[in-house]
Amino acid sequence: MSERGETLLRAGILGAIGWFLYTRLSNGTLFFYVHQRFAWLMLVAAMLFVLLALATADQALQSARHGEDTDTHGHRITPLALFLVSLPVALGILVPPKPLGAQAMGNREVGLATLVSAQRGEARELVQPATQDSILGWLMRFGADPDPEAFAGQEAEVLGFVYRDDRFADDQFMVARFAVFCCIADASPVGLIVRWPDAAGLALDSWVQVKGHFGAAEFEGQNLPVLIAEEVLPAAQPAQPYVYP
Amino acid sequence: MGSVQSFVTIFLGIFIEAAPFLLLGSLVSGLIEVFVDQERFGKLFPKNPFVASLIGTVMGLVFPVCECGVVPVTRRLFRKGLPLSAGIAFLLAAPIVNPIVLAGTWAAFGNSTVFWGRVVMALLVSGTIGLLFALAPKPEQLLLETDALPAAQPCSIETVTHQRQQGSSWRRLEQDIRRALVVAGEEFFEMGRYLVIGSLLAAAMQVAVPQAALLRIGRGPLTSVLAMLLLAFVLSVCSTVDAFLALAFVNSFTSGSILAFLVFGPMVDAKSMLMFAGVFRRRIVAYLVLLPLAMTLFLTVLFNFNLGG
Repeated sequence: MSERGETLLRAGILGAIGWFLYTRLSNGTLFFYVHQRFAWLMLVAAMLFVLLALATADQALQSARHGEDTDTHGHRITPLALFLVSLPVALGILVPPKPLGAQAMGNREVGLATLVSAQRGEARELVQPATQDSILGWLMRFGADPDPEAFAGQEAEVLGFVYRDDRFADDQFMVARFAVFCCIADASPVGLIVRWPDAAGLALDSWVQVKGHFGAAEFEGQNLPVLIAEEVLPAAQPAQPYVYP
Repeated sequence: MGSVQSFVTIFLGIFIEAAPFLLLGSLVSGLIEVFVDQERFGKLFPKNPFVASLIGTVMGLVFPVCECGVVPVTRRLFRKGLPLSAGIAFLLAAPIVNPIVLAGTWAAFGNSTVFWGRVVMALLVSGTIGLLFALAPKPEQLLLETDALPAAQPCSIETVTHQRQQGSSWRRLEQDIRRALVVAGEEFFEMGRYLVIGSLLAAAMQVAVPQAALLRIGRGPLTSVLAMLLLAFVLSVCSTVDAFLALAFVNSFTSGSILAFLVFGPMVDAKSMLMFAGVFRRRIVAYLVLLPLAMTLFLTVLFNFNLGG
């Protein structure tokens, strides 16, 4: 590859990263990867990538005009580096954007105790859920009041995806969301245990709207508030699948 | 198939989150290349390595960069004659001791032992390690060959001086800025490849390492610190936001382990370790990982024993 070809390729990759960030930002799927508060940063970055692409392309064309296309001029980027830097955009296009789901919960293994205690104390001041009727909102209330009986009879309606593993009885599942602080590298699952006769028949990862009331029940040897469902309706994946504490 | 999807999603999450910060670091690097005069910059630093590393620890207040942006900036400053002790101290301290991260930590923890502990430990660890490196017999040999650096070719310098002779000062400024943008683009590729490998590594570990098991390790003054050190390395979260993430662990983990997460994480994690490999020889990269690890471990366990969990 000639020096000019390499420089133009570099300009192309920089431009592609800018274009990728911009299109994902404008259709909202960028937030499957990073927190919404970074929207402005991503927009600035997209524009800067395009600016660098233009400057790089301009240099390639200028050196061509001056007939300076020799191997001794300028700095060469190895083909491996070109490949690696274009990998994120390539993967981003090849693998359709999809938020983290039940599959990713496996190794994050929802430790209920950890989750509930994480919401306790000082953290609670900062951690304010969007709506009081969210999974996160309930977990925080559970954290504030360790007595599971305190919530018996209270009505709730929450939206989340279905998660089950072998710890769950046939009539139990978890309605879950991922809580994201920064980007999904730190995503941690939050969920409520639901009692529903057809739990085993629900498809893993499908989105459901659960309506019911709380009652205390045993899960993994712990007495916890469990949502006794009166209604489990299939729902569409929300535009914003994560919850932001 | 599902775990491949999670892997790609997490990889893209880490890369997309880090890319703007690396881009800003590359831009600063490009501007330094074009606008900082090598002779004058080298003279700014005292010969005494102790003073130089002390200056290095607080340089982050002038160059506010996180752990992705700091690597290209340090690399460029080395080329402009930055003393090794100051550079190492800057590399390790800047992701913590800079206005953006300090403000974030203050917002999350307020006027607390965690906030001050983070600042003091960051200064202590980075300053000490910077000084240790100054004791190396031939400090200049610790860096990779400089010909691996962009924009060092005589030909391009000639072009610039040639262009400088013609045209007004505005035209010259425009040329300089174009040049800085091109260098920034090159820098992004030089460092970006390590960011990609590091993000792949971090995503793979996230898919493979069961986090809940890590978090269950417990409240022990030593085990909690070990767990949080490992978590900081695996998560590779940007230092501009890690304080908010650490809040989630405040009540289930010892204060020392929270400090370990906040001090070690910005200095070394899966992606920054790979980026170090673009600046230093492999043996030095190992020191740059192990020394902060050992010092943070020692200081935070000591903290746990003296100030209670």
